[in-house]
Amino acid sequence: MADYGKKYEVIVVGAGHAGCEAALAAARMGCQTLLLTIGLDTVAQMSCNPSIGGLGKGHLVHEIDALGGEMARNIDATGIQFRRLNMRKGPAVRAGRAQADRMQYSARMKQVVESEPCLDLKQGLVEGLVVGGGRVLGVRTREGIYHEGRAVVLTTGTFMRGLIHVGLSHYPGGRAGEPAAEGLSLCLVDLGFDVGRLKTGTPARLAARTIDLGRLEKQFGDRVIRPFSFMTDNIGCEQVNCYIAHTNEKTHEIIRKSLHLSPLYAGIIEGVGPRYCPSIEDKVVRFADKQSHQSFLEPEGRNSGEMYPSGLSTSLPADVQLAYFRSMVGFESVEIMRPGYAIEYDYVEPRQLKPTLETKLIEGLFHAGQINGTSGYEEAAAQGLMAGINAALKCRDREPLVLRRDQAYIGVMIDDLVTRETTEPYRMFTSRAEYRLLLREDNADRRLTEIGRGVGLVTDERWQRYERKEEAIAGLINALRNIKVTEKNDELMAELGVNALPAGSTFEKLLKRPDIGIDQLVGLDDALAGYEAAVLEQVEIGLKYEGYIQRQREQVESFKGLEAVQIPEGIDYQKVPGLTIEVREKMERYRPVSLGQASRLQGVTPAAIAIMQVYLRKLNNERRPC
Amino acid sequence: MFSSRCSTIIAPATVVGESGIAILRISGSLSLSFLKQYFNPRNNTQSFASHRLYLGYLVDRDHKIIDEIMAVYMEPGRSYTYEPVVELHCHGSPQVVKEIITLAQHYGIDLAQPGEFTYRAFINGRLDLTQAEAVCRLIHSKSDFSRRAAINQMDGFLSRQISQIVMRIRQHIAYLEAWIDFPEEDIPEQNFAELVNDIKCINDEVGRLTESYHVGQIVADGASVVLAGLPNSGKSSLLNALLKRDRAIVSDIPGTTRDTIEEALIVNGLKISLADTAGLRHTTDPVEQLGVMKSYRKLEAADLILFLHDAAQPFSSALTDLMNRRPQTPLILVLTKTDLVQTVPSTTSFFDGSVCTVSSVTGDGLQELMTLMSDTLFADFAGHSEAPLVTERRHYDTLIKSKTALDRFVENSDNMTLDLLVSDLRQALISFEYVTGSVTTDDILDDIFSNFCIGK
Ligand SMILES: Cc1cc2nc3c(=O)[nH]c(=O)nc-3n(C[C@H](O)[C@H](O)[C@H](O)COP(=O)(O)OP(=O)(O)OC[C@H]3O[C@@H](n4cnc5c(N)ncnc54)[C@H](O)[C@@H]3O)c2cc1C
Ligand SMILES: Nc1nc2c(ncn2[C@@H]2O[C@H](COP(=O)(O)OP(=O)(O)OP(=O)(O)O)[C@@H](O)[C@H]2O)c(=O)[nH]1
Ligand SMILES: [Mg+2]
Repeated sequence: MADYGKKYEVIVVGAGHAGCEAALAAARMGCQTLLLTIGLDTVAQMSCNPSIGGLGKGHLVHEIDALGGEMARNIDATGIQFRRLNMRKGPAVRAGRAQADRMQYSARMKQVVESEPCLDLKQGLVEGLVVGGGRVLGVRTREGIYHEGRAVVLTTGTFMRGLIHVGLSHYPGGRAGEPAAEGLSLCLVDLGFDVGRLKTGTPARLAARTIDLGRLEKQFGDRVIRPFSFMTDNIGCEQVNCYIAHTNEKTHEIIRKSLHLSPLYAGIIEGVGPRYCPSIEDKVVRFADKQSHQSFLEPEGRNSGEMYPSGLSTSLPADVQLAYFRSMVGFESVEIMRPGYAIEYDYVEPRQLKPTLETKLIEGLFHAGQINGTSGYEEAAAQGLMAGINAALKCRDREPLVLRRDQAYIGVMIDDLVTRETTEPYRMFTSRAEYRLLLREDNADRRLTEIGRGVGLVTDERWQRYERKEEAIAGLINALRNIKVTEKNDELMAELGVNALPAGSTFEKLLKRPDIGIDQLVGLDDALAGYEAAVLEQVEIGLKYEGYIQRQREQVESFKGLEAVQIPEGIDYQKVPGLTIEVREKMERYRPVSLGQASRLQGVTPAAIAIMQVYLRKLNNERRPC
Repeated sequence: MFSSRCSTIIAPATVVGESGIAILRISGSLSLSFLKQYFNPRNNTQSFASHRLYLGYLVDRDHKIIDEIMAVYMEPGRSYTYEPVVELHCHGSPQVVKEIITLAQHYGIDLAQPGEFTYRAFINGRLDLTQAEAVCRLIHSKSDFSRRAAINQMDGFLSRQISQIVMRIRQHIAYLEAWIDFPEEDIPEQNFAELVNDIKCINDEVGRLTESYHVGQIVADGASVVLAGLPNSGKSSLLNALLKRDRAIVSDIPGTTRDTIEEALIVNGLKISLADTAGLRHTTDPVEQLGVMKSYRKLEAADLILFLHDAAQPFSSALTDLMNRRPQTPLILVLTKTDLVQTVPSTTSFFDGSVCTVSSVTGDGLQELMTLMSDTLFADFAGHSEAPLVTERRHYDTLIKSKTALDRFVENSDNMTLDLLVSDLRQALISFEYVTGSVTTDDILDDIFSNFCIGK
């Protein structure tokens, strides 16, 4: 095996969404970093739909940005349609979503990676890890080259033993048109990891020119675009349209007749697919009485002739795909450019990870992205960022960074991954966050910029901008508290339709009323002039939802108690008296790092937690004799 | 199971009803401020020294006296749990204990679970190693046992009703969550006003269940029935007759009974605690005066008053006034000593409630009186007869907590956004955890994916 010679601190395997964030984070934190990937032409490739964001996912993108990641800036720069969802359902559940120009997205990310000083991007397929004394030492490529690194981050996506299915035929591949990585997961099994199999699928890509778009309903972007990144001032690009198409009874009939040709129904696919991303054949079978399913038709780029029909992923044979598309209104003479397919791949059980994303088995080895049983670009990028940060912190002998469930969706996701049984690919939903009212897109910068600054990913420019905003928020709150409603406001009050207020009420009080918005107040007093929209929004949300936010904060306080109780790494659960066999097995399987994590394991009762607490106290007492 | 460690907890430290004095123990940060708020010490002190007994009155939120008690404050580090602890030594009646616990709960103090004080003592480093192991077993057996016991105790009807409420709340959450998390899916539009209406119905049901707690309490702990009336009206004689033994001293000297006497008895299958009291009159005798005061206090907490009047004596308006003092408490007018009169006088001119005639000497009318008592006690909740009764304090707590969240939902449903409203519904669902086991996000997601066709 040829030694490449250069000693890296962090080696990242795979330049997908997870890998790019991991490599950028490590390099920006000053570590000599290597990013190895199978093909240099598919850096940050969007394997499935050409869009970023949505509920929960948009939240993740904002968090990645606040910590100093790249995804938000990349989509701000290469998005071709932007929309904000759930505008009327409340600030906590508003989320941005953008259509990306796929090629541009990938090209820009590659440029960013290439121009990062401490980061080398190289083509190479990693076949094995080199491990010694329980530590990772480096990686070995198919070409027989050995790269030495102190930490390795695996972000292999759907590539490990990837198997592509189109109808009843199947062949190895990591993504349509790309090879699979065959050796790596076997190496991981040898090292003692539990490796499982999952499945996902993607629809056909259609030739835009052959669709009668005029007969489909149009969907436009927002008139005013709200960027994903704190650092993007505004986005003024011309936006493209999406279209809404529908299946019909005839489509369903064609699908039903061909079910025996689907590898899913023929029992060929062993991997478990996500319930939130069912194939069209699944939908037709499981919701048999639904007469029509809707599909958003999304352009793949500003200059691309391909369109992505969402909601219609499939593993049916290509001729069946063509037949069912052509049964839809507007698609009578559609041409398929790339057929849809399903893919099975290996993932590594994430319960074998610490909350830092370092594996428990091999020191210095980190896993991020789809390899952990997740699905989605944003989920992958967020994990990549955290793994990159922690790999770099490890190289510098610094304390690792773990975000709590009350701090970020990232914290919710990673805690879920390391704590719960994987039963299907994991995707973020806002309903997974118990402190949802605190984890909003609009306050991601306020929650995480300081943490990003602490690890060294927040630039001076971002930091100053953040401090200015915080000052402005404090100033505005203060102003609202000091302005009293006076007679001179009477007329205006009447105009606003506000019932008489008790004399001497402050503007702060006034703003708490559901019928008053901050926009209505800013013109009434000079002290309120000149604040930017983001500041007004923060103050308004903070005041209006004070009661609710306060209640969640109180819940957070009591939640933090158990979270802070650490369980020693080598604890022998056989020695804990009073645990049931079931609980003991659970604890041994997951080896939770804190009592809080333990309490979230399925089947661990509150009584078991009390027993653990007592036992840990006893251990402590023994250690420092009293 | 156990409340979070920062919460304050309360529980009786003695077995209620088994001794003359009951001790209530409060542990946690709110304990001292609770004491300052509701305890009026004799010496008017504002600061309580640790480990000193203070005599005074415990008052309720309307500043009405609940009981004369002794209170002790124990500063953190020197108490059983190492937290600030307050102990209230009150008179042992279940009514007083109940009232104090309710007062504390209004103040934000939680009812402690079995073993929770010991548990806290341990966690805060109070107990030594050998004790630790014992506590371990105790917590283990008690908590799992009490949870199982609580579920078993729950009658099938109630548990079905609660499961149904939980299911309905869950369904609404699943719908709203689907609506939030999948805005681009064609989830069937549901009428929000209808959803709010259904939540209102659920809330009303929860409300009815909480109201039944009082009735349930009577069934579980026994109803408090108080014998009242002028001196010499025959209260002590009736007590003896109902108990079928000579418990109270009887004499023809008015003012014989000075102190309240309480005895348990079963009337038509219903547990009753029967109290004989000092006859109500103005008196200069200080001891009797105390007795009369006590009689009035007893009447305040009664579930049913038996107002006795000698059938041979004329009726006065002063008497009617006495009878009307507690209009909300059911009252039966009992005309006594009927063996001594020829005809029982008509009462309709001054009283239109239930009337009963008895003779403690011959036993005439006793059976009728008992039937009337049980009927009256149950008439109070005849409306509940179809509904299950909540008898367990913990079930009641659960219901009250969920009701608070549901109330908030209903109140805010037309001026707050969905994210906030769902958080109220989730809070309501979490409150039921104790009875139904926890409902996780995964359960909600299961509901969503099995009900709605979702997928890009
Ligand atoms: C067919 C298909 C359908 C999908 N459908 C959906 C969907 O509907 N919804 C959804 O949210 N997500 C979907 N995804 C998933 C989404 O694409 C991924 O979740 C996301 O891209 C994962 O990011 P990642 O960084 O973990 O991996 P990827 O983006 O897959 O990137 C992995 C990278 O690692 C490289 N690599 C792999 N192995 C090696 C090796 N041994 N040596 C060197 N380099 C290596 C690859 O070349 C690739 O560049 C789908 C993916 C596929 C393929
Ligand atoms: N003949 C007859 N005498 C009765 C009856 N009930 C009570 N008495 C007599 O009435 C007198 C007073 O009876 P108590 O039972 O002591 O009356 P009380 O209401 O308890 O009186 P105080 O304790 O003084 O308030 C006694 O002399 C009893 O014997 C009855 O039913 N028939
Ligand atoms: Mg008497």
